[in-house]
Amino acid sequence: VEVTGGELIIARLWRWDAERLQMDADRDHAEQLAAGEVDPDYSISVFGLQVDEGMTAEEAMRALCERIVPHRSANWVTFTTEQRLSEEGFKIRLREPPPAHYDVILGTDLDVADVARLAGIFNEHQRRRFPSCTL
Amino acid sequence: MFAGLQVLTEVITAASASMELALAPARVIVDPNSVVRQDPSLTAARFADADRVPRIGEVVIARQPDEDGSDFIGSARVVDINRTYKLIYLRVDWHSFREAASPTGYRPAGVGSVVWDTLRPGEASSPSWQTDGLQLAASS
Repeated sequence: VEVTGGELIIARLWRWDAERLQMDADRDHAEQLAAGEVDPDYSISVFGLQVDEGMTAEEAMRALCERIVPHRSANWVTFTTEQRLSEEGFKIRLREPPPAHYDVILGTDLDVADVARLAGIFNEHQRRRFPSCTL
Repeated sequence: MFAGLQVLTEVITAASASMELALAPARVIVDPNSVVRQDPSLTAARFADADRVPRIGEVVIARQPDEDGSDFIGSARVVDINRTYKLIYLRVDWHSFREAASPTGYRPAGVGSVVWDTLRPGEASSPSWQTDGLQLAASS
């Protein structure tokens, strides 16, 4: 993952294959309907952190994992950036708590091609152990 | 007389099986990324993510099965069920997660059963489990 100061590095825990992403988007949509939301959208939960100037990618990944680990537990993590998501047409929104939690917005209709494209972005880099961020 | 004994044996066997089923904690797949919008302390799972629909208040085995067949398990308590949208709302003890010794979906005989002999008086509603070779404390 290449990062520059000021941009957001994004982490997704556990699994990011298209099947799992679609299941999670469906569940989130159902949660909103259950809560009485009249116009729910589909989204995928991730975590994000603004990269400090001069920070290396390895430092940014570890800093993000350190933000997540008090609140969540998982075996695996993958990284991308808001910039990379944006290049593929995905927008994100901050939704805390927990700290550093973001949604990747998929829209009010779920397009399986979008889910597959998002899974492809998450799979561009080798997965790492969480929370050590080691390969 | 032998026929009566056989019927009695079958009744006892069936009762034992149903008791074991009743005691086995449900296993529910949880997404560590997700958070319930209305209550961020909770995590939701779908009925399809559970091996059975648990009861409110029940302590369940929270799972993150991996694609390679390994399993990462912890504990969670069911705080609500929405049957219309088939959702299970869980308070997950994220710090309880550990690598499971056996692969996903493989449950050896006796695994997942409540270890009643580890309970002390007053702990009946908060049992510990022997799960996949790992002792888990029920979350509160």
